[in-house]
Amino acid sequence: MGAAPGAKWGDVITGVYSASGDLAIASAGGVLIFSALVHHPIKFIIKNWMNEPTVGVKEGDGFIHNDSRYGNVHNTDQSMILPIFHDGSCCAGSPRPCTRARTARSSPAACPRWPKAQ
Amino acid sequence: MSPFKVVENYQIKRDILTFLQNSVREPKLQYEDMKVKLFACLRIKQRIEETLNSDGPEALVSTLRLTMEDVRAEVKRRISEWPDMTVRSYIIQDSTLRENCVVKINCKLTKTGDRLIFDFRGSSPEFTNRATNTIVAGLKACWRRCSFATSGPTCRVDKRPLRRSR
Repeated sequence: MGAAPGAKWGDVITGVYSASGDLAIASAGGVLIFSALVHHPIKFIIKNWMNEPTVGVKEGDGFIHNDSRYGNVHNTDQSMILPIFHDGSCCAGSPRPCTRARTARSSPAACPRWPKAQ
Repeated sequence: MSPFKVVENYQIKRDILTFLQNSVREPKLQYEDMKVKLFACLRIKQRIEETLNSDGPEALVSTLRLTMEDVRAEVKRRISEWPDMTVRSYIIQDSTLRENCVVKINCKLTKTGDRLIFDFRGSSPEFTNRATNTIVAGLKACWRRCSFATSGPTCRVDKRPLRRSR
């Protein structure tokens, strides 16, 4: 599901990742490249935020990212990542990469100059 | 945006949301998209929890594991059927979408047994602040799409036989 024009055209995908951050199953439809790359930010979160006292990862948390240097196609694509817990431990993750709202040219979240509609 | 927490107790944090909305040209769409993505994740979570309740965690984990292992085995098998070979190619892009710039991407692909080795030595350095900065990461996705997109489950282990050097 998506609200942005690109999302309505099918420029979205979702998937289920293992507790270690590896893509286990991706949805059948959508643009594969998004879910193929989102294991990078998940592993970033596991490595840097899970045991970080000021952040932490607990049930009910969700993360967002778009920086392609952390795993994405380019900065105009945003991903939402939700850890799933069972009996107190994280058992899977359900990220939802999606095409994105257009970002301002001068913002740190922008794709330089020509954010594309896909 | 490096990965950062924007949802707590399954609710979007309004202070961070406001910041993001002020960073885009379509603030309403930004909020709408974040809500949609969150609820899509919650729907997946619901399905997984239903599976956990009906079949237990061992069944879920083993299913995911089996999917990944089967895909890995199949990818290795398919690669093994190819003749051992080395293929060389390169492309040159002439723009970073911000300025004209000649960028060479050099690739030597070696197939040995059940392994594919991508050698990018000789390529231009990767950019850190331009849109065209996902060469290797994007390659992995494109490989998957071109090779096995229509005939197997999508998971990460289909890239296990790939090796990269640069």
